[in-house]
Amino acid sequence: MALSTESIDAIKEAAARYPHKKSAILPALTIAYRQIGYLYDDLYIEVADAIGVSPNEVASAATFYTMFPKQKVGKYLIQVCTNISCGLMGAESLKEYLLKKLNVKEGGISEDGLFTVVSVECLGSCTTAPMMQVNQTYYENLTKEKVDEILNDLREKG
Amino acid sequence: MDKIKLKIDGIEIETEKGKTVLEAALENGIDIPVFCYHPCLKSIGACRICLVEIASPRGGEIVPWPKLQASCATAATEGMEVQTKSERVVKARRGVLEFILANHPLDCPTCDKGGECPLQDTTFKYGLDSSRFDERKRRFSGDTDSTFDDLQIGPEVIRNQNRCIHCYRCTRLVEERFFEQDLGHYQRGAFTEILPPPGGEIRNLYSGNVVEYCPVGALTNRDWRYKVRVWKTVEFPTICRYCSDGCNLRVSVFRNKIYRAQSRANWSIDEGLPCDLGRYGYQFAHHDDRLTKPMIRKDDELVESSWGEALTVIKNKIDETVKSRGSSGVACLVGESLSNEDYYTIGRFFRSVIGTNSIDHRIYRKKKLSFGKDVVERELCWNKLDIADLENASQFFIVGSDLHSENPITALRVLKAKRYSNARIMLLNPLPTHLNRAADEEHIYNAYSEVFLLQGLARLIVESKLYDPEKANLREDEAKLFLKETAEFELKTVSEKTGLAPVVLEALARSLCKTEKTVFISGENVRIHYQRDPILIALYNLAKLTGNLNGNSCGVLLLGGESNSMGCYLFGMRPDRLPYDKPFEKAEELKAVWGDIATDQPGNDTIDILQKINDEKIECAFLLGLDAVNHYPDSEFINRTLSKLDFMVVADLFLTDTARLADVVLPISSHFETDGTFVNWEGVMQKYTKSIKNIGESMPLWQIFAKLSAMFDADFKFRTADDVFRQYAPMIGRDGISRMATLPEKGLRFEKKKEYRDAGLMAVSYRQPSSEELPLTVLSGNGDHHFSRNFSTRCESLNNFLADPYIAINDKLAEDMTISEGDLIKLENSSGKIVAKALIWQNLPQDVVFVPDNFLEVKVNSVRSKDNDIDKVKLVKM
Repeated sequence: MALSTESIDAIKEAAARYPHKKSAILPALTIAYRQIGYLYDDLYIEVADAIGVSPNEVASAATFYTMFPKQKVGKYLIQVCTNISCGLMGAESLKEYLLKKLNVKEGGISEDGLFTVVSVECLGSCTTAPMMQVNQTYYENLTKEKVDEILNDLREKG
Repeated sequence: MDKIKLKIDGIEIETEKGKTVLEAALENGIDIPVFCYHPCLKSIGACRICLVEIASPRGGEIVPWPKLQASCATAATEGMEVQTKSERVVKARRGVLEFILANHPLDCPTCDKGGECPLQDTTFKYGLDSSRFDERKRRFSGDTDSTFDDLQIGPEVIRNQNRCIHCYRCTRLVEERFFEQDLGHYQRGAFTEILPPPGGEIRNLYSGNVVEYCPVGALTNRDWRYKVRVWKTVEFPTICRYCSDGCNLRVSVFRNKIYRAQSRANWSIDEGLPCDLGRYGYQFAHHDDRLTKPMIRKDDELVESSWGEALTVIKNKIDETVKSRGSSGVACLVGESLSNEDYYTIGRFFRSVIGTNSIDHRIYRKKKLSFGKDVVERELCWNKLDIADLENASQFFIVGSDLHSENPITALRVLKAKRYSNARIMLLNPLPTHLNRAADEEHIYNAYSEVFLLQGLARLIVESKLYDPEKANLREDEAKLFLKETAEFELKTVSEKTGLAPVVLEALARSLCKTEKTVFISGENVRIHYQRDPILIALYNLAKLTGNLNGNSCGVLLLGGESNSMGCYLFGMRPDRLPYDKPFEKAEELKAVWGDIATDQPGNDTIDILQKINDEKIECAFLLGLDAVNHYPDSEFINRTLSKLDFMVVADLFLTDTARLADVVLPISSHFETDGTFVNWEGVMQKYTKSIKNIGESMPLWQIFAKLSAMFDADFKFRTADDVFRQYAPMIGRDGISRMATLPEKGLRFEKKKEYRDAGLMAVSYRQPSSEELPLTVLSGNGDHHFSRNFSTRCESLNNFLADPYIAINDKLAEDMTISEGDLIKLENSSGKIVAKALIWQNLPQDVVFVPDNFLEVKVNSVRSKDNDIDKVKLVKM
């Protein structure tokens, strides 16, 4: 069992909030994702068991949403927006800078196990382009210097 | 239903309100191409190929709608004018096709669907001959070992995701109609994949339908693919030979071999969604085990012979027996899946040529074969509803029936009512059944406590005055009397005996009275129950109390049985009934055709026949299409009895265990090799046609007995199955039905009165069953994807779902005895023993074991004894 008892309890609590068990799939996946860091086949079965629905429904929903990583990622998942506004403001070069600096390929994990960089579509923060999301936090109006600073802070936190 | 009028392509048509434009067009023969639409499913408008141009009246003017509409998702309205073939529509369809084909591989020559592919046909009709899409097509590599990106996703389903056009018919069928969860769509957009859930495979009982209804070659069938091209085959209509639902099927034949069976939608029965038993169950027809020549016992060994020799031996023996014993020395037992033509000819031969009435088919019960007077009085012997009626019921009370495996298509209607009108399904069984996937409540009662349960509920309803006296047509004094007579069914006792909590019983009683239109369904467990009649009467009581005796979608059903169990009844395969269920007093009409027949007294039923064989009063017996040794619920007794016979003739498709005991074995043809008719549980007579030549020298039974009749100088002159039909057709008494060809294509539906006689409440009492003092009760039924014996286990595809016998036990019991799954375990009692691998079922009650009754390696009837009402065993770990 990969899910902790706390996660399972939280999933059950979430499931109890809805008239249909199915409705709890996304909240439950979020709970599982927060604990494990990514989603995979056996985890769908565990989540399904905790809610009381079929693994089919959980896996269908999970694979539909690209924002759940389906492979192991670093402790900090850096999602760089490369959509139009950010793209115009230099998102691509920012991403290249990140990849070079962390010495990883897109989607890979840095050697220290801390970082994974991926490009994503619009995160709805166009007025503050370019921007990136690190786990649950938005970092906006980015420059190379700002990125250095953020990475250093994160490294320090470990 | 309100009618509306609209114009499609300038043709004025009338349709029912609520139908879509597409349905209105298809009904009237106007062709609109479809991919995602399926009449069994709700429309989702996913594929856009059914686009049409619509204009509708507004303020006295016909106003065109600005955009083209998906006709499958647009309701037809009064005065609408629809164009399905205008230039604009054709252009749009070409555009849609171009998009669909952007990612669809052009591998038609190597695709198994080629030749019957809606996408191929539609492209041929509308599509462009070139594509503007220069980019690479999307590609899913399924099985990396295969050149074709194929991936096996179930025992019989192979997927090629590259070809998928995302119509979602497969996943919708599985979820919407079958209530299963073994196929889903994963990922998104163009990369959506059809897959079973992680670690699973698609193996539900209806899984073959996803292949048939895939509009492209994305899902193909393991058994059929690449064996033969579809345009080389010829299709023949047939009827399924397994359960008593009577699905309409068609088989594809090439060079005298059947390659597959597909649906042949009969909307009042199967809705074009047969189960896998029908779809793959044809394979026995070409099995190597088929008998091809008659066999005669010589020096204690069965040796092949000619028909002439075999029939002469039979004739001489019959003559000898009749001379020494009289005609009562001959008896006949028949199986329940022969044709009506067979039954009629058999009946005529035994009754008129030999002069014996000892004919029976009821081999499944230990005692009390016929329904008692009280059941007959309440008209419970005939099922009064039709499958389609179930759709409008609002509640199902299913007791003692594994409906899912006994009558899969009836179960599908129950599920339909659940899906589209949210009918309640209440399952009450001594063990969990697979219908529980959709049930609102499932209660497991102690095995063989049905009378307590049902009578207890009835008492509870009367006691707590939950019934409506007017609807139930029950007077105060009658209610009082009933309470007095049912004193043994106090709530506390009932709860104790059934193992259901009093609150559960109270809730059940309330729920029964609250909802109108309840159908009470019982099945095989009740059919073989030692207290069958009391259970049926108790169900009748409940139906009466809840006001469900009259009406189109309520009543009491006793299902189960085999493909022509009803035909057995109708065509006189009982000692006291003549064809067309006529009693002996009404034999005049028959005598005119048959000549003189003995109608002074009924013959022997199965129990008497077996007894008289033991007493050496019956010397010569015919067992026709019946594997009695494996069917009769007492293996030791039936073996001992049959070996006492002086002369036994067995006619079957295979050398069954019964045939091995015979003196003469006759090879009979399957229902694919002759014309004939079956009657399903609704009482619908449907015909099937000869699709292949007889295998070997086999002959259908009607032909065998027609030949025999000629040897007795009483030639029936039956040369074809139609000759037989023509002879009994006048008895059906329906105008215009004179030949098999005149039977309606969708079957001859007998008119039924959809109400039961109100014979009042009747108190029935519980009788303590006789049994051995052992801890576990044996229950049996069908294993997954199997039905009855000898046939389904000779179908390779069905064996791919389940090939090995097992004994299912409860998990706690397994733990206590340190048995793990797959260990060999033994069940034994004084009758015998069976050994098989253990299968652990979590929800199985602790005092019950379940053994599938399909596999002859593990014969359930060897732990059954005809002297005990119920069979108990002890479990031993090997």
